[in-house]
Parts: sequence; structure tokens; C-alpha cells
Amino acid sequence: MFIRRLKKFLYSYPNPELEQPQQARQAPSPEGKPLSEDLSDSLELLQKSMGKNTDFVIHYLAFDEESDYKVILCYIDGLVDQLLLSKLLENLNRLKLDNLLRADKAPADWLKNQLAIGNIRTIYTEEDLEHAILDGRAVVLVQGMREAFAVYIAGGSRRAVEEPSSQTVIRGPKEGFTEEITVNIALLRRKVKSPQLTIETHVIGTYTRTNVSIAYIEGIASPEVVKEMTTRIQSIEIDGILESGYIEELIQDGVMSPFPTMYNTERPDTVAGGLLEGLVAVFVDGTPFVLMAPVTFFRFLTSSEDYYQRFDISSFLRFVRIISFFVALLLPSIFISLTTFHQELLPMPLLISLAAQREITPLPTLVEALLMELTFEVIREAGVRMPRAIGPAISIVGALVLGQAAVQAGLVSAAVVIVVSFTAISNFALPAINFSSSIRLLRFALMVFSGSFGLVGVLGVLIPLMAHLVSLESFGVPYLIPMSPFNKTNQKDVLIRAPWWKMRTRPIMIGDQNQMRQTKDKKSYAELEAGRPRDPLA
Amino acid sequence: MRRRLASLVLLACLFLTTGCWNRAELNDLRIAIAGGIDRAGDKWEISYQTIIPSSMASGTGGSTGSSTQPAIYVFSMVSDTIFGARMKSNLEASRKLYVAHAKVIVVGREAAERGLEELVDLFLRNSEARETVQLLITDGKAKDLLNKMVPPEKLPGESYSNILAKESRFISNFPKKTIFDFALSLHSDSKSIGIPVASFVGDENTDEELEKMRSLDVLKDISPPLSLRLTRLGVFSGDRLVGYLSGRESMGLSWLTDQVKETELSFPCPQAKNKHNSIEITSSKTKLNPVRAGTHYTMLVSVNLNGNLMESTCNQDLSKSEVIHDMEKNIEKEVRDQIFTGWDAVRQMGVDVTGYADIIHRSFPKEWKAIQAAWPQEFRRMDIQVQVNAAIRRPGLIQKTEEQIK
Repeated sequence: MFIRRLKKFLYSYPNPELEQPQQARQAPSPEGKPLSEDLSDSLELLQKSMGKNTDFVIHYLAFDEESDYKVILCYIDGLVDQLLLSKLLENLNRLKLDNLLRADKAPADWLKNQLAIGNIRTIYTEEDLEHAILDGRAVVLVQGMREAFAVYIAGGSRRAVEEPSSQTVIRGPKEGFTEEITVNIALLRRKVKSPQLTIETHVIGTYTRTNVSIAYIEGIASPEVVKEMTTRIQSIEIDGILESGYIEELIQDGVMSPFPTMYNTERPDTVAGGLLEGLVAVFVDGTPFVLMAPVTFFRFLTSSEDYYQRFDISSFLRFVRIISFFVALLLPSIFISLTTFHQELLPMPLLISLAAQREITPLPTLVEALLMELTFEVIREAGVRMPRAIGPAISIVGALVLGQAAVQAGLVSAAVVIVVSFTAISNFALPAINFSSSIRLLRFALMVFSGSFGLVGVLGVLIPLMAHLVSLESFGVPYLIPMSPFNKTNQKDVLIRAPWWKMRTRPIMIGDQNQMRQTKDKKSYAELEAGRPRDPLA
Repeated sequence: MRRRLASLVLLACLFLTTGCWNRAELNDLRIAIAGGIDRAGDKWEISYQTIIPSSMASGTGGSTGSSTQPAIYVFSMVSDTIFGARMKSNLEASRKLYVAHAKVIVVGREAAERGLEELVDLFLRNSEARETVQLLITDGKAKDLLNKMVPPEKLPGESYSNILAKESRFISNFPKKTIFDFALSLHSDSKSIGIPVASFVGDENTDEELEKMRSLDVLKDISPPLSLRLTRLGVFSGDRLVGYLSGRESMGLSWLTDQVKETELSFPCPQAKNKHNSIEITSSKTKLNPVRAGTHYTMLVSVNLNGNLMESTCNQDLSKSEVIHDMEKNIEKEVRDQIFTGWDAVRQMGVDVTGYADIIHRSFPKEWKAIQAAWPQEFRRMDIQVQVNAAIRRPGLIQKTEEQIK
């Protein structure tokens, strides 16, 4: 009964189908209030809505003295590129009214061509006018025209493309995403130069109006997943999106699960690799972290470097990560249960050594381990939050004062310090930070249970945890695929990383469209080489 | 929401009310490494050799005086039952006695002679004690063995089991036996088992010397007056100790029961009887095949052994196959001799410690019923026919003896 309620509790995420369909917000709002032909009306509107802002700039221009046509150019200082702006002003000043009047074609098209700069969007409504300005566009309004022209000359200072700080590799591309969504999408496009790479953009956040783009490769990504992703993103209604974490929490499956069901990365190559396996990526403006879904348990034990290194080394590293996963999750709790409940499982010399350490320590093993774990978490948190300049101080305090001194003073046994340190190091060996954080939480639960019930308690946590993992899904894909449900062909890239010439198919998640990665029958050089009998005389 | 909160609080309380269940911190345990069983009148006297961890491990932080304090502490209790005596230890011990790591149970002579059925029952019934604990018999009281140091080891209990393990592995003279083996023998047809006997031996073996072994000071002695040694094999009939086999007789028994893993064998030179060779036997297999001749049974014992020559003083050219062949003959003779020494002793004792009853039962299940009741008499009438096949695999790095080289 309790388990059922717990499960119900864990799986109760907001059902997107119950939300109101939000189609209206997506379409280019044709039913907004149209712009007035009279320039003074528009000017009044702009003054009213944004005139208070000191960074809002209006340039008054005229083609010539006698003309009725007046032109204004407005933008927000700092959002536009100064160089392009001066070019635009130059172009505007060169315009001749006569040409505009005498043009055979529609004046709007003529003007658009004459501006000859950047991406120009024609604006028809008052709402669009405001949004365009706030988006970093310079808007040209002309007396007597129903259209305004939003020139995309966004600029200002932005961070350059740098090496990603959260996911480093030794071999592999060193570029990382930036805060600029256009740059990020361009980084991806440079890797996947296919028209099938589809980018769909949504604007989310009533105040922030953040661009959120869904990227996938048409023909590889499952249409159901893309549809599901679009529905969930459109169902978001919030005042602001400042980071992709907002989106992740708002749309992921199993919201109460400790395990993440969306992957995040700073690396364009990881995203490109994911898209080629049929994942859907979500770019959010203003953050270098790009989300990907659907994601499985084993993807969190994978680094993009696995695919750049030799397969044997990668497979070994996978093995190391799996070990460190279990160590990070279980080592402290197993240590506690062995030393306080199941001493018969310890080899005699180890038991004596541990018992000798216990002689002088005042606290029970559970409390000791919990305290050390908490201490470590504090050091870690301090290390992240602290100004970089005092970084070395924390390692001195952490390592010497808290570690060595505590042992020497007899407050903590050396074994517990070793266990806690090894656990922490193992935790860092996992490539995905959000995944290792969830293990950290589970570790504490396991420790409390092991301190109360021994190994029975550890199993009492692990068995429900396993049941939970098996039933968890990410965008319709079972979390533990290809282990449960088992799939033989997908095993090539789970616990081991098979050589590339053996991985002919994409991992199967949903549907089975476009499975082949490599030509079905043609053998690669490597395979021919591997199958060739050795000729000793050659 | 309130109900959910309340149930969470109640659940959290469960952690506090586990009452520690069987939780025990390591510093609450008195870890026993060896146990001893004696008889005190009609009662059992149980001794335990326990570890003092702080004097064992090289100190972590505050522990001091590791060299002045012995690493073990021995205490004894008397009660009607073995378990009762163990629980009585709580009357005097500051910590809970923890016996799961005891590797050896030493049985005093009197207790062994009066039967160990209760001990087997305790070990099989109890989940904490392991049936893999090895048995050791001592001539006097087990307590007097446990309360003595075995230089140069700090933990005597550890050295008992190490001696037994190494001896069974490299000499195979007194194969080690566990409580489980003992329990199996009680339920076998032969109802007999041989358990190694250990005692302190020295040149003089005085009481003073024995007393000296009780103190940590003996560790400072470069050559202690006494040392613990496996001396003979105690033969049990049922659960009672009924007799002993000497080292050579016990070796014969090992051959007879296929318990030889590795051993050393000295044999005379083919020509010069006063000169000896030594061979390290690296593998040995004894095949037992009972045959019925009339009403009697004969056991065909066929021993196949391989070895490497380790020491040779014979003035012979070892590169010649005849010489090797002659040596193999002498090895076979020596093994046969050992086997018959053992066999005669066993048959004289009339206790089927060879376990041949079970082999005959398996080979002649129908006939077994007839002889089952009179098996001890039948066993005395039994014969063996021994065939030994020895092979010297490697004569060593040099072909000739030192004498020849000169």
C-alpha cells in the first residue's frame, strides 16, 4: 500500500494534456493591434511603454525637409552592435524620398532592400514592435507606412567560445557552448551540416521572453519524442526562464525521482553525438547548458571521449566508471554495516586493524561517517561558491585540519576518512554532474538505513530503488534500456564500447526508423583487416 | 498533507527505535581468535583467547604502549553447558564475546576422552560460530595451551591455524580437520576421525619453562625454551578420543586416505644404505578399490606420486635412467613401509580411522548390511594390498653429486 502511494507520489508530474493548448502564442500574432500609419501615434506608443528607460534610444531622421515622410530609428543601447548601427544609419541617410515615392514596387519591399543589412523582419503590430526592440533589433518606422522594419543587428559584449569548464576531455573538441543561443546553434550546425538538422524555436517566459529551441535530426529522431517534447515545452507558462534547469524541471519525467531524466551538456560534440542517436536537444538562450532527451541510465556513465579513444581503453574506462558508481553509492553504507553488524564478513587482519582504530574514537561509526560525509559536502560546497583567490586555503583546511588532525586527535578513525575520501573521489569520476549529485543524496539515505539495519537495510533501499529505476521512463523510453528491457544489439555501447566498425546500428530507443549508421553490407577497412588471415611471408 | 507529514515523522522514529537490534561497534566486541574446551568435573570449562586490538595494530593516534601489553587476553568460565559457559563470560568481561572469527578450537585431553557431541551440536545449531573452525587436541588442558605465547607470533590463536594449514599443505602428516569434518565422521559408517594433537615441546620441558611461556617476556627470548608443535594424531571413535598415532603412523594413514597433497620423503640410496636422498612430493593420488575375497575384504591401495629430487648424496650419475629408476623403487619401498606402519597401528587399535567402512558400503551396498553390525571385527580382519608408483619428475639443476664433481 505504502509503496503504491509512494510510486504514485513519485510519478505525479504535470500532465501536459490537461493544460490549455497554447497554439495562439506560437503563431506570429496577426490579431495584435496593428501599427498606425501615423508616425506620431507609434512614437507616442513607444514613449509611453519604454520612454522611461534611459537605454532606449530614438533617432529622428528625415529624407529631406519638404517631405511628409519622417523616419525614426529606435533600439536599446547595448543590445545592438555599434558598428552595424552606424552602417544602418548611414544607409538610412543615403535614402532618397523620391525613390521611395516613385518606386514601382511596394515601398516596403524597396525599403527593405535599401537597408541592406542583416536579417530584416517586417512588423505589423504594436506588440511585435516592442518585442523586436527588446530582442536587440533596431526598428525603422516610416511616416505613412503601416509596416515597421526590425533589423537584427544584435551585438554588445558576449562571452567568446571557450573550453567547457564542467565536462573536460583530453582528446576531443575543446569548444563549449556560450550563453548566446545563436552561437550555440551555429556550433552545432558546424558539426551536423545537414538540412535534416531541424531547429524549432519557441519563446517562453512572459517577462524574459527566452528563446528555447528544439533541435533534432529529421529522419533519425522519433517523431513521437519530438512531438512530446514540443507539447511539453509549449505547456510551460512561467514568468521567466533564466537557465535550462527551469525547462528541465518543468518538463522532465519522474519529477520526484532522484535520478535525472534529461541530460545536460556544455559540449557541442556531445549534442551532435546525441542527435545522431536520435535524441532531441533543447537549447535555451542565456545558458551554455543544452538539454537532451530521452536519456537512459547508462548515458550518464558515458563521456563523449569514449568515442574518440581506442575502444579497448574506452571499455576499460566504462568499467572504471561503473565501479566508481557503485563505490560512490554503496561504500560508506557497506562499511557501516560490515563494521557494526556483520563483523564476520571482514577478514581477520582487517577486523583487528579496524577494531584497533575504533578503540579511541568516541562516536558510533554511523555518526562518524555521517559527520565526515557532511564535512566533505561542506568543503565541496565552499570550494564551488568561494572566490577563486582563496581556493588553495580550502584544500589546506579540508585536507590537513579536518582529515589528518581529526584522525590524530582520535576524533575520527582513519578508516572512515579513507572510506569517505574514496567515495568522494569515485563520485567525481562520474562524468555527469547531475547524476553524481543524485547518488550523493541516495548515499545518505543508504547510510542511515545501514546504520539501523545493516545489510538488510542497504537491500531495503536498493530493492525499491531498483524497482523505481526499472519503471522510470524518459520521454517514453525505459530508463534502464538496453538492460531492462534487454536488447542484445544495444549492448555494444553500454558496459563496453565496441569498436566503431562493429557499431553499424544506432541504439534502439523508440521506433526503429533509420537504424543503420554505416552501410549494411560494405565492410570497412578495419573489419577486412581484422578478418584477414595473417600471411607470414607477406 | 498533515497525515503524510505525520507518517513521515513516525517512519523517522522507527530508525531510533530499532533498539540497535544486533548492532555492535567494533570496540564493544571481545574478538576471540581461539577457543578451548575442558572438563571441570561434570561441567564444561570454556576458555577463550581474545584479541586486544589496540596492542596489535601499530597505533593510530592515541594508542600507546603497544609493546608492553600482550595482544591477547585469555579467560575461562565453568558451566553446565558450553554455551552457558560462554554466556557466563558476561559476568566478568567488559565487552561482548564475539566468536565468529575463532579459527581453532583446542580440546583438552579429558574433554576429548569424554566425548564432544555437545560441541558439535553447539556449532551446528548456532549461527555465529562457524563449522569451518579447526579442531586441535592437546595433551593437557586446553586452557593451558591457550594461555601461552607462541613466539614469535603476537597472536597464538592465529599461529595454531597457520601451523595446521601449512602442515596440511606442505607435509600432509596430520591433515587438518574442521568441526564440520568431525560432524560428518559422526554420521559416517566408520564413525572415526583423526585430529592433530599439539603440545609444547622442548629439550627439558620443565614447569618453569611452561610458566615462562605465559608471559610476554618470552617474545624477547631469541630461542624460547619451548615451542608449540604438532606431535601426533588423536584418533576418535565416535565422539571420544580413544588412541593416538605417531607421526610416522599418521603419515601412513595420510597415504591410505588420499590426504597427501605435498610432502617430503627421505629414502636411502640404492647402494649405500647409510646415505639418504630427499624428494619433495608435489602431487600424489591414492586410489582405493575394495575387493571381496570370500567373507573378507581386501583394500587395493594404489598410490601414484610425482616429485622433484631436492637432495641427493648418492655417488651416482643421475643422468642415467636406471639410476632414477632404482631411486623410484626405493621411494616406493619407503612409502609402502610408511603405509604398513600406519595400517598396522590402525588395525591394532581396531578403529576404522581410514574411513574404509564408507568405501565398502558404497562398493558393496548389499553386503554391507550383513557386516555393518560387526564392522570393528571385520575391520581387524581386513587386508590391504599396496601398489606404489613413484616418478621423479625433475632430478634438479645438477646431474651429478658434489662428490663426483670433485
